[in-house]
Amino acid sequence: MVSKDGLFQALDQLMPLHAVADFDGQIVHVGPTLAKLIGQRRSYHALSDLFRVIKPKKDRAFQDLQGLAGRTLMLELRLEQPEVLKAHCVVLGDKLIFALSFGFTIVDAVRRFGLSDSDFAATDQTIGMLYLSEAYALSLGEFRNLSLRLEGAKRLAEVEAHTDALTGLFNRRGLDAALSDLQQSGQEFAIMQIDLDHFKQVNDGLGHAAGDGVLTRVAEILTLETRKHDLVSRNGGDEFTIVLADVTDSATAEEIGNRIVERIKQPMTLPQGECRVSASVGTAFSFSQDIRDVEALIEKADASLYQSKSDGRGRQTLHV
Amino acid sequence: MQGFVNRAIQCFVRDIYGEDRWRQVVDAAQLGFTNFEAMLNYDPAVTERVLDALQDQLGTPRAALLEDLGTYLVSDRNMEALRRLLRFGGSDFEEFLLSLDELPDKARLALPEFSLPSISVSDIGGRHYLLNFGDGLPGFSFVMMGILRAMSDDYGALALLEHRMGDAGPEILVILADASFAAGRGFSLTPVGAVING
Repeated sequence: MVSKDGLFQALDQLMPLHAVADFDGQIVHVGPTLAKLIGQRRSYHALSDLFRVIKPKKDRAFQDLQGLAGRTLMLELRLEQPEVLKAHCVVLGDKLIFALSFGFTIVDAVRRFGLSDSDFAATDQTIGMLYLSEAYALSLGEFRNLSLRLEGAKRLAEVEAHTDALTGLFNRRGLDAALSDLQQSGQEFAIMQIDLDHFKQVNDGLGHAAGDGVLTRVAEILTLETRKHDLVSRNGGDEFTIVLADVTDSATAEEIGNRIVERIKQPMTLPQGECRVSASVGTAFSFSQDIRDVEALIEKADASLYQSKSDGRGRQTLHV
Repeated sequence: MQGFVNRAIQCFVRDIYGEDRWRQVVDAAQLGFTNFEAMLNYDPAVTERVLDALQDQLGTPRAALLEDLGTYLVSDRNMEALRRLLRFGGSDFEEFLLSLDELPDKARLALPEFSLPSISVSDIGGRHYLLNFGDGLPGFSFVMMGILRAMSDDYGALALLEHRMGDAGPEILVILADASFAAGRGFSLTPVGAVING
């Protein structure tokens, strides 16, 4: 027959988190980890001083204790901030042994009670669970970073897809996207088509670098002469479009168009030499159309642009 | 898996030799991009090109380079999270050594596609331990040299390490001279803001 002390020593090593009571509910021994949890100064005599039953039935009294044997229990450790433990009770001779373990609050419990691996049984997988939860958090973090970087790259690609590389203005794709948004918004707007005159002579006479210089300069002028919420695009070659937002009469568009025509007419000094170009402009307004069809509006603006060309270039025509 | 290896090499070069050096390595290895993603997969040949480039530029032999990488993985502040995962291996250096054969399984538990070469550990008596490595990751035993060196410091143990070619490939002989030689670094079971600063 094993001595009582021998039994307790073995239990302390096999399951450091445990309590032993007699059939009257008096505690006769606690394992070293349980002692750590409750603190040495706390006095405990009866199971009910130390625990409150949560399961199988809340606040079930600690009587008919043998009825608890063989069952899985949830016991709340009576601390200032209670800790719920899982318990399994077995009868050995005239004693009840309560094997205890932490639930899924284990990470918090380890921190709260300052537990180390010596506070767990050698075969206990708690340490493995802690390892896994850290490894899992780590790989989740990596995945989160990866998707943030991919999201950023996707946004950048979208911006690039909508941008003209030379001038930084919107390109045709960006314009189309903006127009379809505008059409759905229901607000009034104007489309201003702009085509440079004599641009081919710059390219032929001074080279493509000079041509690019002119396009860049024109882009600057268009950006400066429009309002913040207007949209300027280069559609390829020397063709530009301005979408003027919130336009309910022709006066604003006329003023902007005039300034653009005047400024582009001024000679431009480039490293390759002096260039002279001008702009033919045609504008159409959504408020003057019965149908709110962007395609039709663009056709009207194009027709006005050709009118400006055939009237002698370097001017604007409004289709009201 | 290869993403982790490549990302670790990138962090190593960046933290030890600087961002400029990493860009030179990227250029020399003709990667066509600057950053490795830990969670993506890459052709192992890419890793070889990066290590070749690094070796050329630093003038350091491959073995020494990989050992430094292993030391970095444990001892650099930016790798604190990885050191913590390794410290779960045991409460002292000997326990850690004897748990190394579980390392590939543990890594796979964390990430199913992470397949480290197998490691076998034998206690050959007189506080001598012999580690053997399976195939799968060229140069892994050199990286392990660095990891073991740094982990023995971490535990405060004094260990002598010898890398040698055995009949079944590379092996490491560990002689544990003093298990509690110095104080070592602290370890608690729950992290205090441990992050990998990748």
